[in-house]
Amino acid sequence: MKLLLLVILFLTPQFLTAQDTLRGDYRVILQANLGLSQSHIVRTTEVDKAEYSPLGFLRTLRLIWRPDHLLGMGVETGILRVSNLIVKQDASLPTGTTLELDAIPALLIFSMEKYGIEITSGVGMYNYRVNAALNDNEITASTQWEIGWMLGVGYAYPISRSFSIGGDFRYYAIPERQVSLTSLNAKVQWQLWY
Amino acid sequence: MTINQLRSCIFILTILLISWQLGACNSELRIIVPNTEIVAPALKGTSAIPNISRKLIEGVYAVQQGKARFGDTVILKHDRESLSIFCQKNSTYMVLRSGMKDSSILYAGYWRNAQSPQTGLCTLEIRNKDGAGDILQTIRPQTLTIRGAVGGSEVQPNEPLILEYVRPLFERKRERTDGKFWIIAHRGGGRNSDRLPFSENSTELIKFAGKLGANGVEIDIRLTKDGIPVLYHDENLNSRLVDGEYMVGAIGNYTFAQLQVLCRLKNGERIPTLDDALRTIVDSTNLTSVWLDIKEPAAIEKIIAMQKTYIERAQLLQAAGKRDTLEIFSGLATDEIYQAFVAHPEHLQIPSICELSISQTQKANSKVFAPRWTLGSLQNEVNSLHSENRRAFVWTLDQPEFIVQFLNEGNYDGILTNYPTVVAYNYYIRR
Repeated sequence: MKLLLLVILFLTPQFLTAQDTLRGDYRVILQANLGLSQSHIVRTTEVDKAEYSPLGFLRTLRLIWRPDHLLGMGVETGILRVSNLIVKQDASLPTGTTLELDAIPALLIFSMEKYGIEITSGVGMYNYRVNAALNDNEITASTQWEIGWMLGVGYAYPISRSFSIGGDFRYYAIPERQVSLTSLNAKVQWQLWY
Repeated sequence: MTINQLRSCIFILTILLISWQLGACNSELRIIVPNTEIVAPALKGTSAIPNISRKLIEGVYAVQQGKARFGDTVILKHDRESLSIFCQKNSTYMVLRSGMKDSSILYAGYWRNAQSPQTGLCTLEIRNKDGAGDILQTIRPQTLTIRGAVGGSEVQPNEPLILEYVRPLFERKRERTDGKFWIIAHRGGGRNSDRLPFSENSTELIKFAGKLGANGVEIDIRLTKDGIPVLYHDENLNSRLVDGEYMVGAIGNYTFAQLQVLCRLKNGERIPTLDDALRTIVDSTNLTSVWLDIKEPAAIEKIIAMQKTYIERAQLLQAAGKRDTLEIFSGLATDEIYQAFVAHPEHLQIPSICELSISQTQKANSKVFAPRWTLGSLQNEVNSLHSENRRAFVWTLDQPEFIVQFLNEGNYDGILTNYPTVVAYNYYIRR
């Protein structure tokens, strides 16, 4: 059923006739975001005593091409802290072992903006990475690419012809890892080309 | 709204739906076993059936009632205290616990379709007058009838099932291998995708492999960062095989201690060491062969040392009459593994299975040549290996029609499979 819906949605625009074929101006926008995120993750790690935090900072950059119609597209990358854990006491792991889990998105994003309100969705890959530092300085760093997606909604208020400031709410998902993140961000937007 | 705006909205909606689809792709591969507590009271107050009596029950049975679900014939075979039934239809099998009480033999457990999630509960009984009396006195009865019921997974079974003994199980007559045929369960018993009661490459599944009809297991060996051989198939830690939010990248990036704390196999078991696995096989199973699928050349030295230790241990138990013979083979699947193996000074004395070529099999003095099934029956090559006192196992045969074809047309000594229940049925049913 979902697949059928997808096919219909995908094909529908092909049957719609555009009102005009002449293209107008376009804009290229660079967006920097800084926010706080909370991960939602199926926890399976059993440590006797540990400090665990699903909270972290989110730093991302977006480059968006906005043509003369509603739909823009671009790319997004950055670094998302998924969680970190510090072992305080455990039978197997040395006290002080630190485990940090991050994800670096490499997403193709599609974005609609009207009256400063922006809706964004993205699909692509996440470079999922763990840093495990044992207290004897033995560090394990390991990475793996995973498919994922994101959704976001935000608002940008123009403070000049080139700059806007605003905020957004985002949802990132890495289904293979059963990990999702929700985040609240502040954003600065710079029109590179208009 | 203009047409362009409508197009944009539809496009975004499409992306959202694709995302939704992606989210749905992460299918859970959890085990499927019905709640056997429902039928457990059937065995209350029973005692263990003597081994010799259990042997008398094994055989080929005609299905008198229950053909729609299980087909015309079934195979009954014990593994320690459990009875397994391998069926003709839909690759169905049953795993039942057993007991005796008041001259009756009782069984309770579940049935499962090997290649689909269909499952349910089952209870069986051999009454005194149906042959249990003779069996418990270690006499083969004139007729032997097993009556019981099967059903769904959440209710007491109520569909009648009646089985009637027809003949003993097929046994190969061949001096060279003591008539033995090896049914080798892949990854310790089967894959996670088949939703067995335990995770692949776990000691728990290895203990269960005999109930699936296997008399041997193939297990995958990799090294941890601190050089401990462990059972794990893939190069990377992934959600197909493990749960663990901090498990990213290659298994070789983590120490054994890290894996023990941070990682669980899909059904909650810990990743076992090779040492744990071999000890389990020697001490807690009736398995007669172990195929060590070595994934890293660096592991050869440690694997060979363990192989020697556990072959000796099994020989001691065999001499004391506590277990059957056990063979442990190093698996030589790639040229890198082969080179590392033949570089070992004792390689000619170490039992091995070579998957590469007959000449490499001979050079490494491998006891077994193991070609991929797509190479066909290789009749001449297999016969030539037999004349050199070597054996041939074929891998990995899963389709019932090919299993039957290889059993009928080939001259192999063993089959590596993800569905040992299917091989067991088709092997023991032969005349």
